[in-house]
Amino acid sequence: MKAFFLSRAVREKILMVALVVAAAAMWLSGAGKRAGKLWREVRNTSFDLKEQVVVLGQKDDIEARTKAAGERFDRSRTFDQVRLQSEINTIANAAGLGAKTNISGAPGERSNQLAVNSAQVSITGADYEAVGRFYTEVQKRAPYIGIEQFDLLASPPNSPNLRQTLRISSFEIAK
Amino acid sequence: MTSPKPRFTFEAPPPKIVLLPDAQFFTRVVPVGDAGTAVDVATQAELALEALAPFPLAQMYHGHFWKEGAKHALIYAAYRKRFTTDQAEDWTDAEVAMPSFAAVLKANVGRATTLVLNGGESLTAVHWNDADDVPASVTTRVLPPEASDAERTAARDELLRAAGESVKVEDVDVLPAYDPESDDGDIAFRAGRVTAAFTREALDAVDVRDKEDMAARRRGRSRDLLLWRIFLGSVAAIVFALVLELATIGGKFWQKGRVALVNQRAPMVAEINKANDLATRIEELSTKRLLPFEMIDLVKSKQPPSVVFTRVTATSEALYTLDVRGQTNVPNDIVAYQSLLNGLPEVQEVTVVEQDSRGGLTTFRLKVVFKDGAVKPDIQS
Repeated sequence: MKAFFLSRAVREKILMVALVVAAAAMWLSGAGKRAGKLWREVRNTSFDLKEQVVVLGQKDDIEARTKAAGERFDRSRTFDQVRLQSEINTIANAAGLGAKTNISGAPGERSNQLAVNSAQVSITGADYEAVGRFYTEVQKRAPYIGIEQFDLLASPPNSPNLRQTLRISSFEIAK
Repeated sequence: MTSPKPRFTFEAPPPKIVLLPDAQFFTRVVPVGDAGTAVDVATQAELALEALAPFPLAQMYHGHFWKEGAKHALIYAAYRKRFTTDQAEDWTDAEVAMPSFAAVLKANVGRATTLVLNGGESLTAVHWNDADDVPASVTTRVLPPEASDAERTAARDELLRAAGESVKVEDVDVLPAYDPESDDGDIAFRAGRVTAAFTREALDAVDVRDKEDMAARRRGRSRDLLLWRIFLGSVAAIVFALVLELATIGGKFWQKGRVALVNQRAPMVAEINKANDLATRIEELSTKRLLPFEMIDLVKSKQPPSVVFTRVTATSEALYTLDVRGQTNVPNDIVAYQSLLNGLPEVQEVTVVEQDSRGGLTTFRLKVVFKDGAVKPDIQS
């Protein structure tokens, strides 16, 4: 091959070199990009696999923890989505805020054994004592019901009419 | 019927070798002493030629032969006008142009050996006294075209006598020619049973063409070698790219299996993670209670009469932080209020996040951070 190459005319040698260099540059660049992409995918997949192995390795511990969380509470006192809204409605009525309260469901989370249910509560035109009574009744149901977000607004400022927005959550233990 | 010649072939054509008639050249053996390098010998050979030749160097085609460790160099030259312009033109693209006897100068011979080259119209005797040195003499006798065997024998005997005592005489009846089968050196020659292999540098020395042309040819060879190396490097890069490509294709199959495994495990892993998150959230919901009214009671206990709250927010993500917005018509009361709150044992830090005055009314926003566990619930469940 060397003898063949060296026996060619100069212009042929230059042409051959140019063609081979261009082909090498193009192919190597393309192959490098493809190999680099695969390498990144392999690295990400390796990371995912390692993470999955860790999580799967903790499966028994997490199940035991979930079970223990469930056993610490009286299942009959936990609230599903319907019971939670019903309970909040009862509390609002008891605090004299039944007509001023709006309750709507909020997205919750659920697994095989446990669920967290949430409700968005909006009270308008209430005085401080009334919302205090409502709050006290909610707190009496802890730890089965808890407040996750609290917003109390005087509208207009210095007015006795308050507007309160709450996100109240409860948890549920499946049979 | 002969098969047609292929239009393209990867076979390199044989190098063009020009062997000139021995009779056109005069030869001398000159001492070079302990000349260390081929360049030194070339210089000494040119100086010797200038002293010996009847013409200036520019009017001669000349070359020399020397080998590593030899004490002498064989120099030879021919008057340029003995060759026509057409002949000289024909040499320009040749690999080498040299007298025929030069093709056997690197032959492996013993001491006191004489090679007799029968060139048809001439006989040349190349005689070695010492096998490690260059030939001691190169003598040529021109024969008439119609010379008889007796005349040839007489001329041979005369050449052998002139050469000196020979232990071995080898008659070579064919002219030296390029040997394509040999792997020795860059170019090898064969004359009967005698073979001689030359390196490119040794061939440049025995070549009789213009030394400037030879220098240009050497530069051309360096350029060609560079082009060859670039070519070879690029071919290697292409081979590497091919290997990389094959590895990538193989790797994709392997990766496909791994991705399938990840996807297969994903729902189970997501379920475990969700159960873990829920267990954590329930623990937090039951153990970490958000106590906004208790925090409001604490900040209200130090509230200056001029300060009015407009909005209070708290979230379970920042369990011990109360965000208080309010307004006052006494701006200094905000700083005073901040100091009073900082003095409460339950408070860790109070920061005025915003403050804006307009029309005699100052609005503000306080971020009150309580110490962990300092705020106790008024109502026990």
